Amino acid sequence: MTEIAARDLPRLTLLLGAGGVGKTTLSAALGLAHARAGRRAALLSVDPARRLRTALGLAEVPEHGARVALSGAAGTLDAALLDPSASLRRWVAEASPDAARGDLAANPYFVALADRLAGLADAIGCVRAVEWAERDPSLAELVLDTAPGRSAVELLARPDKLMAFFDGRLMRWLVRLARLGPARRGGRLLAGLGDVSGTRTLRDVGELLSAIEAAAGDMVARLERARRWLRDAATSLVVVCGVSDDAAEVAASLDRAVRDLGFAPSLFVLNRALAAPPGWTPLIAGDAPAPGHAFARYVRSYLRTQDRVRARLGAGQVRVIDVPDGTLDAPSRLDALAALGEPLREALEPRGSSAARRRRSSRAA
Amino acid sequence: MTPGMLPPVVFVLGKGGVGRSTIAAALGAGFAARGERVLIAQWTVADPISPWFGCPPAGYAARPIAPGLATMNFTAEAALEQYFVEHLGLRAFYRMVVANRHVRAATRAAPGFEELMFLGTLMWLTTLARGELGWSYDHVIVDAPAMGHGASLLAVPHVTATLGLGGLLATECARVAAMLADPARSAVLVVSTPEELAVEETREFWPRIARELDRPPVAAILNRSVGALGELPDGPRACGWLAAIAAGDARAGIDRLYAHFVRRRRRERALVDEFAGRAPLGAIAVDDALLVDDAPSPRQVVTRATAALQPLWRAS
Repeated sequence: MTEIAARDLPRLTLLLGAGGVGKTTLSAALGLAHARAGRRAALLSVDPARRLRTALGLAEVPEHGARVALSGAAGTLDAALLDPSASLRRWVAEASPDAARGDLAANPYFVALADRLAGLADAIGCVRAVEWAERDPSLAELVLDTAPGRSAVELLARPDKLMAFFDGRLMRWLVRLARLGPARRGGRLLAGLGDVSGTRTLRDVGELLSAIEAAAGDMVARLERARRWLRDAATSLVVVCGVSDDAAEVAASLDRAVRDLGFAPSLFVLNRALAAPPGWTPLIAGDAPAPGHAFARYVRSYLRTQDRVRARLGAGQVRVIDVPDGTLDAPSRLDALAALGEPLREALEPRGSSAARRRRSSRAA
Repeated sequence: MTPGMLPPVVFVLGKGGVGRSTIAAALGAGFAARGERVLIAQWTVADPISPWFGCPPAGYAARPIAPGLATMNFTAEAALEQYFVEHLGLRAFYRMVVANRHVRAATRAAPGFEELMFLGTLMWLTTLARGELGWSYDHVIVDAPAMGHGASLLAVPHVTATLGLGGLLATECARVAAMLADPARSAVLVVSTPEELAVEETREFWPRIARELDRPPVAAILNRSVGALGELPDGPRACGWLAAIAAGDARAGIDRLYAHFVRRRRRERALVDEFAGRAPLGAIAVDDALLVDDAPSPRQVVTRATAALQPLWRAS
């Protein structure tokens, strides 16, 4: 069942990690590396920094997606912004083109829900990813950049939660309340809730839900697909970590959290790693004299922290790769970005080119 | 508000990865050192702060981590039960309605609900607990979720107010809104670093926070400041130690690190100029611990930050 459902979906790669470790940049880099390798790739990303948008040659990344202009690449890369509010509005408008758009825009709950709160962002990200894959069947790779820390785990846990919301008996009661007045079954429960939030509120929420209901069928179906897609053997969870003890702590807690949900990370990435200089060990050893200048002390401290973080990430069964700091200020920014993503792409190849793997491991040793 | 005096509830907001937990812990340790009873309220997957103080991660129940200093890690489910059972005394109602699995499924997915519970918990801890338990915290430092979600916390009372809520939720919303609106009861600190994305996000969210609260954040904390570096060496290999280490593959990396530093310093100056005049307590720099100590432990980083944050309570 799982195999059949997943076979016609592209390969999914999710990047998780603490804030500021470079998830968005590495997601874009991985997408570009896929395109350079001749794959049809898609990137679904949180709003990237200006410098990264410039590097991709996009003034902005729209919700519906835009093609990144690549010269001489065999594949393609389309990038879209994760914008739950815009996606939700679009789905409701597509489901009932005539009436729903106006109603929904006027409903204070929808405005509040859509524009000011981020509670459903991750589940909607999943739905968006499935929608994209369904509408572009030739897509081979989908890279999903996630919100930092805690939210990323919700993305994995939330499909069930959101389905419970849309599918739940309470929603059906509320919709019926909005349309027909109090439902006979659930009457006592609704009366109790009315004491908590006011009866009018329940009716307003019911109206909102019945507007969304038109789109909810597709959403629930896509969430169910997303749930299976996330659990597919070809799906990769990449935990990105930076050179800091805090980031290592978040990486370790994400690792535990996704394992609790029955997933396992495929790869740890130590981002912005400094290549080990030859003969550096005595220079950064604990008893070596401290360098005089603050920048030199910083470099030494950085190398020591990096050693500690790498040891921590490498303690489990998950592979760890180093990715150097990339500069996006170079004239050939796209090339620089694609080069950054290449080791990541190689590491995620199912059976990989074993030669490349050997090369990497010998360099790391 | 008297300069140098922070109200009972202090929200520490900032982009993911800028060091909110470090600043929250530093602030909490600073108040506790002055003899106050302080709680650091976190809302995160795993509490990072307790281990810095040599304690196991905290759950929903507050746990002491140092003299005068306790921490907790919020979960909506535990808060909901506490709210209805202990605070409202509605155990039967909680069991019949709130704990009903259909209601649970809906409330867990309902946007804004967990946020409202979080704010309600903070208010209970700083004010209502005094009447119910006989004591309350002098300060609750809120290690808020990352910026987007963290800033949406401040919007929760407005959102629910426009929704025409009635019943208990409306009462709760009104109380929380009053707490957020009162500068004598709550304040926001915004943490940034001289990194590109953090600076962009600070610029984007500052006016939004000011609009939600109808006043600006009380201070901008510039974490991982490179101010301690003084004048940079002329190049990435200017001193002998750097020349020795910047060989082979490492050279390009160290050159990039140096270029990164030059950019950070430029951004930091721009950021301080921009925010110093926009917050009542100005912009406060906290040095990048990697510049000051050699491979510092998180606890050392917190101690350094406490010292750097002195301007926040010195005058009180």
